[in-house]
Amino acid sequence: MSTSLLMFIVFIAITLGITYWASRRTKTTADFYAAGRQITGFQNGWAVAGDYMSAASFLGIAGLIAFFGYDGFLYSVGWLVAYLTVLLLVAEPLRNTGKFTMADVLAFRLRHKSVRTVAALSTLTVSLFYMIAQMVGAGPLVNLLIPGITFEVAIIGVGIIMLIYVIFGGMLATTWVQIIKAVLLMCGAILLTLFWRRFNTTGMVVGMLTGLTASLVLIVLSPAVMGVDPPTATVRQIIQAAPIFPLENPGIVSVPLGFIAAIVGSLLTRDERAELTYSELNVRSNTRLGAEV
Amino acid sequence: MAQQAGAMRVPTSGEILSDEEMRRIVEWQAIEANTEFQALVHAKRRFIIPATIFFIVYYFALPILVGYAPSLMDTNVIGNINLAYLFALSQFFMAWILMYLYVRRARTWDEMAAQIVTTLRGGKE
Repeated sequence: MSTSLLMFIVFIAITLGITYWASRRTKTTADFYAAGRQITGFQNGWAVAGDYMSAASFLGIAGLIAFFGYDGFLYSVGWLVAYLTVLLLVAEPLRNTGKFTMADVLAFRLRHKSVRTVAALSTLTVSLFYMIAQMVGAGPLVNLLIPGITFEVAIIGVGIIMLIYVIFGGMLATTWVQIIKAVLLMCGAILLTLFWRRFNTTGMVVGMLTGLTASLVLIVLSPAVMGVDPPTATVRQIIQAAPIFPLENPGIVSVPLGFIAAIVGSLLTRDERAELTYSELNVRSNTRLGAEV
Repeated sequence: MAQQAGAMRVPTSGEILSDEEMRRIVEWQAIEANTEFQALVHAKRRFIIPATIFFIVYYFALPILVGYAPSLMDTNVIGNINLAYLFALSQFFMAWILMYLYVRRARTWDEMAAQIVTTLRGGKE
């Protein structure tokens, strides 16, 4: 047994042990989502740093810099600066309202059913694409460590271990991963519900669906899916035609588009209940009043 | 309080708000209109809005300058290290400094918020 395989097994054993320990202590919703509000700011900082210094940074950024030089370095700067958005605009109001997830905050003054549906839809879509990339990355790695097993088995194995962490462990790391990734689609809606009285359910649904549809359509039309391969190519693009959308990542177009749709949707309709309950959200998000009664 | 409730329009969306809901809404609106609360919101905005605009501009200046002024960013500053790398590195310091300033101000905001909650609790119960 090689040293790297041994280290891999020890790591899996320790993290599963922590998951088991966490699952025994998790009893309430606050336990599951916020580790029972027992985590100090300092501990949380370490957890976030741990999340940051995960596979994506060590393997992804290192690889990007190796392949693309300076362009790869830009990614790491982008990730760091993105935290400022969370720090300045989202973290404090979100915690003060005493809500756990993005969907909870949105459902606070908008109509529950449509908000939950759209929030779940976009979270699942974002996670799906994110997970595909993670799994495809994890597959060959495990394959390297344990050469005996095939690529497919490696991917399924990694998937099962991830599921165990999330379902039984709940809490911190998972919440953070979810928040950071969901920011792509939901940050716009969150900022609008926290800071704009006129924002309503129609705006939220229209905005998030527009953002979601735009990203999906643009990905299909982008070089990620479309392209003309030479006949000798072993890996072929799904659609053999010149890409219609030039960028591989649709965010720069889909995120502003979602924002605009949310604003237009809100301005075209009125929801006085949402406007009237804004006062409560405004006070609570600023003062923490009523958060933990 | 009662006057304020009477002044509010009946929702046009067709939804009828119950008396209990109306009472809650009026209560929260009163806190929102409170001078101390307004002072807290303004204090926060005075920092958060400029800080957000600043970090967005500072961050996007990096890819834009690298993309559109490559020869400028290619200027060597220390040995082989060019302006682009130093600018990218400075983003880390920018983030840390902004975080430090935010945390320092957030302490006074927490005190202001706690003061408001204490006053309200004392006034009501």
